[in-house]
Amino acid sequence: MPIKGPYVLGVAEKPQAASRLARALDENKKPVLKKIKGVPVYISLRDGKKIVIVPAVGHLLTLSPLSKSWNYPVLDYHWVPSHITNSKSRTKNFVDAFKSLSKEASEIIVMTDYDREGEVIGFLILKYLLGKNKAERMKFSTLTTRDINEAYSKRSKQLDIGFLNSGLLRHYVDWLYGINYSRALSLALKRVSNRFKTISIGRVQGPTLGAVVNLENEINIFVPIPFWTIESEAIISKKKFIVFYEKTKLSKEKEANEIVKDCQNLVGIVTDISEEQTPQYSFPPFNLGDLQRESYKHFKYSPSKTLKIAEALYLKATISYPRTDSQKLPMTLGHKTILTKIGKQTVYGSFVVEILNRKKFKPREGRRTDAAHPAIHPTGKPPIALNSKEKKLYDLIVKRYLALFGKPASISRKKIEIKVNSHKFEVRGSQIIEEGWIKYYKPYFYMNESSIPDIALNSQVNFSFIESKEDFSSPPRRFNESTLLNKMEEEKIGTKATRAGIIETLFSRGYIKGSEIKPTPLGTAVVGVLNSHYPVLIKSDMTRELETTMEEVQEKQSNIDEILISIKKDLRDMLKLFHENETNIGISLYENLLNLEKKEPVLIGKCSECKIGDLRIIKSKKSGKRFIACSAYFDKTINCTVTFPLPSYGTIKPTDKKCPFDGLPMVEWRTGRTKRVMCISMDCPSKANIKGGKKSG
Amino acid sequence: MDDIKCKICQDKIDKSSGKFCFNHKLAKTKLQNGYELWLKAYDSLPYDDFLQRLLDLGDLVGAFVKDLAEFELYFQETK
Ligand SMILES: [Zn+2]
Ligand SMILES: [Zn+2]
Ligand SMILES: [Zn+2]
Repeated sequence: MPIKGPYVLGVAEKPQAASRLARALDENKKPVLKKIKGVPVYISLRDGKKIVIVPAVGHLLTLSPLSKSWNYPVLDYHWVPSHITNSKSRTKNFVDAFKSLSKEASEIIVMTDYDREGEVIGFLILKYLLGKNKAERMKFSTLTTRDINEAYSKRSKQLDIGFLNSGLLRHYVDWLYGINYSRALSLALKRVSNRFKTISIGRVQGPTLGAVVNLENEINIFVPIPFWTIESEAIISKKKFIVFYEKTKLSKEKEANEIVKDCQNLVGIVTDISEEQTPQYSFPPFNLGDLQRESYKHFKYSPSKTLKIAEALYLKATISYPRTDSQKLPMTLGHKTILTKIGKQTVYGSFVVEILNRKKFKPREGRRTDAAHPAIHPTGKPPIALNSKEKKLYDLIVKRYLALFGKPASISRKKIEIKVNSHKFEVRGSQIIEEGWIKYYKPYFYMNESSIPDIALNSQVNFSFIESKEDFSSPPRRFNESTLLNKMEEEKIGTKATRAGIIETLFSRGYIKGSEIKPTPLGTAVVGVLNSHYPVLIKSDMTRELETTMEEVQEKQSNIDEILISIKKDLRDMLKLFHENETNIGISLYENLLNLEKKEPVLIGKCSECKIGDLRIIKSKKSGKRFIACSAYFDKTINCTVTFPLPSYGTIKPTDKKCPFDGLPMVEWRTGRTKRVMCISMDCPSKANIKGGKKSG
Repeated sequence: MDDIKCKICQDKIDKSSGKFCFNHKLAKTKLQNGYELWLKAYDSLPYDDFLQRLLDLGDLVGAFVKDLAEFELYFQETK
């Protein structure tokens, strides 16, 4: 049944947000829920006006090429409803709901999240589904009743041009790069090999993947170098303490041995004592990047997971909008009210009382700012019906917030210098003298305390041992999702809102894998080819420049038509260069892929003998015969000599099956059209009656 | 045939090395530089001992370097 006009039409970003908006705006906090083609639509009454609030589900429209030919460059596009280009998209009913409501709408208010994406979502619905070109804009940072009402009464007369233009520009640029390079790479491969495989690499994905592959290349050629450390332990007032030698690393064995020899009487003299108390201030308020890092550190949640959980908390109106760069919390947020409300939760109650009892309370802030939102903070709304992950993240956010109001902690650091003959050693102790904010932030702040007993200058100290230890330098550490995100921030590629998603795409496209991120053979192959024939897609420079351009558009609210013309021109030139190089790129891609298929390590399973090595198919370098051997053969300490012979013809592939007789891995053996799944052991009882190669499976 | 493929991985050889592919050539250079540093650290150390001790370090050693050390230790006829 249609809704009778005239009404104000509100565009929300998601159904859950629509419900909160409607409840807050309705005079009696009881909006009427109607369904249009299954889409929840809310009708609120306010000041004698009807406000109809309709949700989107993120983007309802998508870019699509104007031309149908499968070639490049593609420089012309238009917006179409997503369900038209992608049959899996479930957005048709939402599109229909908006269309059906446009006629009787007297005014439009965009109520999407206040940032670039929100602006773009609202604008596209306004222009292409509602057929209008003017809308008012509500801007809010939390979905609390207070903020929604304030945003309604202070709503601006138009959309935010800076956000809108920079958001649109990002869509155009990413779409242009994505479609053109995906086509260019796939066609390059097809023209030389007649094989079709979609190979796509986005504008920000390229340099991100490049960073992973470059690091792996470094790890692959890493040679550990020996060094020595001096390890020692002293006894002060009958307690044992670790003692640090003046040089942390020694590069020669001889030098290390000489030091140990010089100190063999194990007696030293206290030559200096120093103690200082330093204040330690609380960490700044959370912006998205900091929250993602801290959440990874304590809960091991990936950045994209943290963002999802934070969004859920935002939609429940328990925290403010999480897509923010800001480390600022202005007093206008009403901290006293927020604190008072948080204090009603028993876990935080006593902390809040302490904070509110102080005459002055002002949160500590960081340096970074954001055009639209303050730092992430709790709203004070009771956290009801949170799942366990949401509870954890909520606790972290609340405690971080409370810590901002705490006094600085005071930490005492004490050092005792001990000389053994001419060698200097040091005992270090640290102690929290005053807890301050740390009390509120526990258990997310932890310090290993150790207090050193008082000792007089020139007194004698006995060591329990002074020894040298051989060690080796380690290869650089692989990225995890959190450190890869840091790397992207450092390189200034992507934005707070997109970085986590880009990492996720690299995983889903099969370019990277693992929690200690490694490139897959495919990822390595693609980067290898681009590095030697077309590095611009792997280096950060071009991507970073585009990011700067987009930032400027936001700040200056500039028109993007001219910028787009010049971006398209650059892209056309780059693609021309690609085209000239197409054969080389194609050949090299093809060779890399072939090699990859050949070298895909044929792992058969774990070795049941040594339980450490992997069983793998290898070819004898002398006889050329293949067999299964344990990878721990080369490990001197294990030297596992397990081998299993293999038939000399046909192809052998691993399976995930285990032999029911002896638990050994089974392989698939294919010759011509015959296929057998068999145990790798020659002596296996399963082979007793099928010797001779009877068909099975 | 033997001349155009890497002795270790059967990849195309790198023109400037004559024996190994690009990656294994790079590993060879790193291995040689590494040996010099090990020599300085221990004063004396036969090359084979260096290779063996390197292989004992397991995952600390880069995969291409490990390939090369295995190759030189077990399959190299002339040194
Ligand atoms: Zn084994
Ligand atoms: Zn068996
Ligand atoms: Zn090689």
